[in-house]
Amino acid sequence: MNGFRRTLIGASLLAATAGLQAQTETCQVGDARCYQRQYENACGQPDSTVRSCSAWIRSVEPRSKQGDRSAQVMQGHAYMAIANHLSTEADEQARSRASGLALFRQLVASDPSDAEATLALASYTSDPAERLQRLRQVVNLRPAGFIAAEALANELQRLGGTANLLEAAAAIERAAAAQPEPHKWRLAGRAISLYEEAGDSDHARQLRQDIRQQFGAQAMVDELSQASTRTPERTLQLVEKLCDPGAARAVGADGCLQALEVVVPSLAGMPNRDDAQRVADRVAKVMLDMSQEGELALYEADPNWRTRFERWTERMVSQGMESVTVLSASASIQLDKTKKLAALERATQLDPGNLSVAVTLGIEYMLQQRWDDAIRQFRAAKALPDARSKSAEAQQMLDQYIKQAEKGRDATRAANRR
Amino acid sequence: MFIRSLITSACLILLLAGLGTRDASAFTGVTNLTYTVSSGVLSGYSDTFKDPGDPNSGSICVRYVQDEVGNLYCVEYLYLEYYAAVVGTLYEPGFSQYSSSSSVGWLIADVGYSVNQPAGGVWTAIGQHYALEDIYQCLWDEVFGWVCYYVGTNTYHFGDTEMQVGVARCSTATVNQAAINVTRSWPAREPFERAVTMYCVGPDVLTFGNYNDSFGEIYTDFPNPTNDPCATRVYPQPDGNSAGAHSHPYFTSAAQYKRGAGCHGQNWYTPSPSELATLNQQNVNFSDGDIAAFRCQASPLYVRSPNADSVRKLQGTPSNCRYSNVRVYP
Repeated sequence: MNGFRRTLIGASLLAATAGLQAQTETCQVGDARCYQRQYENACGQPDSTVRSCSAWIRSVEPRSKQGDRSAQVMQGHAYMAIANHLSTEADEQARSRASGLALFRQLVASDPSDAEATLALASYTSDPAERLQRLRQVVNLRPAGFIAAEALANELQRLGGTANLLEAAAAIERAAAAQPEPHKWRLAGRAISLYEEAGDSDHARQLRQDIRQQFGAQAMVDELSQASTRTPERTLQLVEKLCDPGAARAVGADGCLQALEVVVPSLAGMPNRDDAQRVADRVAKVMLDMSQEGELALYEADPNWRTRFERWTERMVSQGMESVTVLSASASIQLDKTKKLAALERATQLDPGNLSVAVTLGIEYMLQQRWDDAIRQFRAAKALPDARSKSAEAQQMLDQYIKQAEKGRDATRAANRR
Repeated sequence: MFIRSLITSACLILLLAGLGTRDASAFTGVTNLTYTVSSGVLSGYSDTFKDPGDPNSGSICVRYVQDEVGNLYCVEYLYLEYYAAVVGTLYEPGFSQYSSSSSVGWLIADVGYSVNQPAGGVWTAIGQHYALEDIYQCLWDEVFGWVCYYVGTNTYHFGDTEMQVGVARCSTATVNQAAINVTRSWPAREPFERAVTMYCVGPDVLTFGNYNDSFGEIYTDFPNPTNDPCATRVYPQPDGNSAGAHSHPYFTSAAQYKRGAGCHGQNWYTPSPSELATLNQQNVNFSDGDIAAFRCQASPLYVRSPNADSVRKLQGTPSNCRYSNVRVYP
């Protein structure tokens, strides 16, 4: 009983502390960022409670009554925080939701140009038609706002149809134009895809051409070709920019492939061995990321891109840049099962204590239905001195793998008997 | 006499060259290929059929004689027998030939395909369909009557049929259930992502690998976390025998959005609460990035929604990048 009371007191103190923390800063009228900080302190922290959030709502009430719209918007969000993630009681959730929505509706009704309140309504309404209408209003009010533009594009894309897709593409294109690099490339790539999906290939082509010009891939490739003047840092900077999956979607992956064609063979000539290994590791990681997230752009640039990636990782290894990172990337990129296994087996030799590589090798044995090898590998992983392998979670995971491999072995044997 | 023989030979050559009477459209070809997950057997066939009611044989008189009163008598004709034929070839994923065989039949020609525990990926069966016409030259002999000699076979290749089957060794129900189970074992709302790759390693046997989270805090043995609260990694195999599953983040503060490299690398941007609410609302579904990465993949992607206790599945098509997006739970 005493313990229970102490817990209650402790919880109250915590809530009060959070509430007080939120009120230590006095916000100027209309200072939305200040109110946001207060709101997030009271309602958006892992230890936030209904109590701390309600306390903050009350503390800001005088400002709200004075007509401070920034305070009112944040109050609305605080109600929604109680409704959406702080409260577990259905009645309280419903009441808070109703209060929050009413506040936002009132704000929009009094000033239809209030983009923040309109966006809040778009997010919190359960009516898809209203969401679409509100998002359109927000995008008109703030064309550079990429989060609203992407939300509108998502809604329109889900609805489909040429007109909707074109509207989505235009919204994203406008937002992209206002963003800094590299974010603008990702958005531009999406706009291009939307124009293509809408069948407006002329617009897509034109936008791609404009973006390519701004991106300046050729200048970067030319710079990479000047081996004598470039530092390892600059090499990595250029490769990572050219091989960014989001950018590749907009400008294509030709520049990335050209960059890798220049950089990989030059690794052997780098005077400092550590630098060469560092660049090789990062380049291998770039290739892995591109192979996973930029596959379509790579395919459009060269349908045989995978063969080139395979050749490059093999070349790095043959040039002596043999590391767990390079070998793991090579194993992920390879389609040849024998080479895939060879790369992982070599990686485990290089770093026998690496649990991650050990498990990946076990999984690869399973994928190739080498059940006994898989079971042996997982058992070996369980015995690794790596402290992480001794954790209950890792042991449980490895036991699960062993069971799966045993099940796979039995199922295969049964199928073969049939 | 020399000239007459020459003319007869010419007629025969024309027939052998494919100008016979056989109508190849009276034949039908079909290829079928299926994969049965429970038995782990890929099986199928390519058949060429003669259409029902079609004649099995025919004849054409190629030389007549006239008697003294003017009646015409056939003294040489071609007797034709019609057969169905098929050449069936099975290609492995990667399009290397796995098997090839042929068959000829009076009514139906059939070749079968069967592979126990096939490799995962897209298998292709191609049936090449032929109508065969055996030609016999029959001459009237005063002693033996009609005597026929086999002179050759006309071959009409009237078309190919093809069927492709993706061998995913695990059933859709098994993969769906595994994705639902694993994603629902995660907390519904976290300000970062978790992911796992599910591998089909045997007949309806799944295993899980490459568990990871945005910041490498939960799955500490994962070597390469994204450091992006809006991104994780999955490792789908090109053969379609795997699936990715991930959760989407739920943000309650701008700091969560900006953590590490920031959402999609945007740690320079401070989103407003309305924008965070928009992201949370949109995160109920697949992102454009998810769709772009998986729309052409044979492997499906699952997402655990942070806003509702639901799991969605995105299934792409490698050939044309079309995709479906459905809720699989609840």
